[in-house]
Amino acid sequence: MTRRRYAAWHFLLLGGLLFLVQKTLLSEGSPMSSALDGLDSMEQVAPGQRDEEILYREALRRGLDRNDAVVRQRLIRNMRFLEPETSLEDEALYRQALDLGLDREDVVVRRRLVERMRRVLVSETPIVKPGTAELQAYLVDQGERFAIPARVRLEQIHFDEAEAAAQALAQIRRGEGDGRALRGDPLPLPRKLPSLSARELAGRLGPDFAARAFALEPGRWTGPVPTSYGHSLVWVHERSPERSPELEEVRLRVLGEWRAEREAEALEAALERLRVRAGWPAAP
Amino acid sequence: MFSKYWIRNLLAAGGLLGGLALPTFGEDSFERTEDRTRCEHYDALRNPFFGDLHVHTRYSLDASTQGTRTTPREASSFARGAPLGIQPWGGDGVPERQAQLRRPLDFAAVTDHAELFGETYLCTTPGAEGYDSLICAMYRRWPRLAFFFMNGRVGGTANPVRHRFCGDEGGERCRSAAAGPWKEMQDAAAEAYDPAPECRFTPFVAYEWTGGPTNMHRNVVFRNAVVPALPTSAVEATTAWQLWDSLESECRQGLPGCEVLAIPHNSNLSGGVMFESRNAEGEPLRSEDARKRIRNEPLVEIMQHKGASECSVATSAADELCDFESLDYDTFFARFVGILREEPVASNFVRPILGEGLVQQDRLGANPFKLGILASTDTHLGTPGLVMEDNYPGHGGAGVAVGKRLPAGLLDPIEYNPGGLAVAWSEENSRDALYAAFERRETYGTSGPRMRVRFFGGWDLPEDLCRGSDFVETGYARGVPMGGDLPPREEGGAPVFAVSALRDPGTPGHPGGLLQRLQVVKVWVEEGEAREAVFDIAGDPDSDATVDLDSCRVSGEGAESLCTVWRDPGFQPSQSAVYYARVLENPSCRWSTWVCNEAGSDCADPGSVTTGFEPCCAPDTRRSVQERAWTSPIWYTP
Repeated sequence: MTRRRYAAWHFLLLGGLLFLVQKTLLSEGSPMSSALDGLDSMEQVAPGQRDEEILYREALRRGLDRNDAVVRQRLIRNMRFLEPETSLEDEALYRQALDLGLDREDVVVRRRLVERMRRVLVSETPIVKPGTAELQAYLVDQGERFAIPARVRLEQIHFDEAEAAAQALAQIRRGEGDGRALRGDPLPLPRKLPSLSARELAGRLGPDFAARAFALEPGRWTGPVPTSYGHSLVWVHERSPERSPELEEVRLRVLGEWRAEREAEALEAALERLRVRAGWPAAP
Repeated sequence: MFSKYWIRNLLAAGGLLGGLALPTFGEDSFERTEDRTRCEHYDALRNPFFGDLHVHTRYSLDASTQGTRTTPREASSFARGAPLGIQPWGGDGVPERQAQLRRPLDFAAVTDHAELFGETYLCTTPGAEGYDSLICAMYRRWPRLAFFFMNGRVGGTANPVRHRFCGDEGGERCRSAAAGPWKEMQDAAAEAYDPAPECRFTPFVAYEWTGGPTNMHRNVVFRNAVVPALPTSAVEATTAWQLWDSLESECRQGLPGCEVLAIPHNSNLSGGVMFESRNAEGEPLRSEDARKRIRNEPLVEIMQHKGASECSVATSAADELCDFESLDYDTFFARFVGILREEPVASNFVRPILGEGLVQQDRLGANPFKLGILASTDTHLGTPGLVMEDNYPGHGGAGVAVGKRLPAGLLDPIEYNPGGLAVAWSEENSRDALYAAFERRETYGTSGPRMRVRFFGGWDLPEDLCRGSDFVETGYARGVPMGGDLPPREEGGAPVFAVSALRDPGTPGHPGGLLQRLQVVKVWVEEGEAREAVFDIAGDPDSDATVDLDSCRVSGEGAESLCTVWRDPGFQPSQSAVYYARVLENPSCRWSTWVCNEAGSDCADPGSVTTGFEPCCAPDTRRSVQERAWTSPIWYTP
């Protein structure tokens, strides 16, 4: 057999395999099995695929298929598969593919166009980079998500037993010693803690302690307060309430979330306009 | 015809599945490379920060094949405490399960497989060239099958190549496409890193290098936002030596401000070759090789979802506590192919490797395996720090493809576990401070709980250190912390070690477990060979503490805190030695016991054990665990 005959057999073999692959791999539920000739049979498009169909049609209407590098590469590749011996240059093959309407028959082209159309719609809705005022407003509106928790700076003396802690406190209250000389029982935790949130405090002395520490009266020894390791006498030096952050403290996070929301809104609004035009408005 | 070698290579796919000076007041003890103000919680005496440096999201093929949709941004939100929807997904895109941490993490790194950023992106991005290739179609339709095909080509062989759909010229198309997920991972890390001085969360930019043929995987973690344009994958760098060269040329040397380290993991599944004492040419290590190795890899992940790598009862017979979340196979492929099952070899485990490091140190004057310790999860749900034994949803989608319902029964193989946490002793929760802790190995790993563990070594630490109020100050002033080297020995005497552990303070309604005991593990070199011994130094190994396996209620004696000072009784000044501490909680229910009980599986009544829950009653199933922490070692060099 000549080489050409081999090629023909290979072509048939590959074609058969691809057909089987298409039938088995890509059938039933796969997005790649959607009707390629759907342009004239709108009612046959499954509701879940209508948005995609709308996007695809809009892309074709705008001629996105005519200026897309991926589409172009794809079509040239398809043409070379169909005509392996061709001597035509890429540009000629591309034009030939368009003339043949191959851009409307190819699943990859379709999905490329759908995705590109999504991005085009998002980019067409002017999402002006938000100014500081806008981000600030968003931050205020979404306050809870960005709130910076209350903090407390305190000093604690650990006792293994509550009774011993209570006795020591009574001693201090009676004026027998000022507490600062009090040693308590050893525990490898700092006596003076830095300014901490409830979560950070819970990580050091336990959730029960953290839950109570913010209600203790500052400026005097109080307690004993139960910890995960015993009981502590506590001197609260300073408390700061929960606060809303300055924008600069959370700008990137605010900007990221703001942008993600705006893009989703922009896409939905643009899609809805297209749906109405196509006579497929979203279900109320 | 099919030798083990070829079977291993064929299935190699599985590789994927699968000395401190106290700072003076006002100065930082670490270099600040970022423009940030000091954190409000800054403490010169340091605090343990808890994190997870091994997290997979939708950009990891072996996560997305199981229905994981978590983005890097969502993984960070989850680590900060937000709830996250996880598979299975309803037809309307609504998740049927939710996961949430009981308390946030302090830091995390998303470490998706660098090899597959491009490929996964191409296969799931409609319109990407290659989307309709056979392998991509297979991936979308039969992801588990595609996993073996794709990883067999990309991650599982000694000489991986890109798929043809990646294009010519070394797969430039896939490398370019990888800029998508890689960029998104960087953006997500930047957004989650508030500059506010509260310093609640620190995200690191990272990825996983997934080298083969057995598990040679490393997580590559960057110090700050200065990172190479593309990750180095096992396609470009096929060996760990090439990875280290690449990190040197593309980061440390080639990119001003870039600093990076690599963290090996799952040496338990490396077939004994994760820590070979051979260089890139297969020759015995030279001192420069040892130095290169340790410059790149100062840490090892000692425990995670797919088992613990500390030690094995097969090679440390005297230490029955090595029987903890251990796998009875030594490579990932052997899990699927019985004839590949072999007894785990010593060189799969950290303890023998610390000993090998001493042997090499004596020979070369440089220790190639000077490894600090941490642990992580290796979650494939994008759920960093999800380590609770109770209410554990698995770390994958139970191996079930996208969109399918979860199978009945256990949602993770019975021998897997929820993984552990990485802990860094740091002045504050910022990248620079934590990274400095990684570099000096002042780290430890836990099997999940958040116990607070201090470990100091020195020559003249006071015997009564635990009774005073200055344990930490004295520890730093007169000794070295975990990860350090004992200073040169003074005349006479043996080294002294001070260990203190506070139990996990727990969360509301979920108190931490009580402590059972403290141990020091010593590894030393005698007549050219590494020896090991384990010492109980505090607590009560024979306590009556127990757990009721039906109710999971715990009872018996235990400690809220343990502290002791221990002097090595067998110290020989001429012998190199390394010491690390191990902290054990009282027994508690293993995750599988919680799940099996919930399902009503009563092993005394076979009829109660429903489909999928059979492993609950297998004879070798461990029903309780002793949660634990392992500190980084302290080294003695004669």
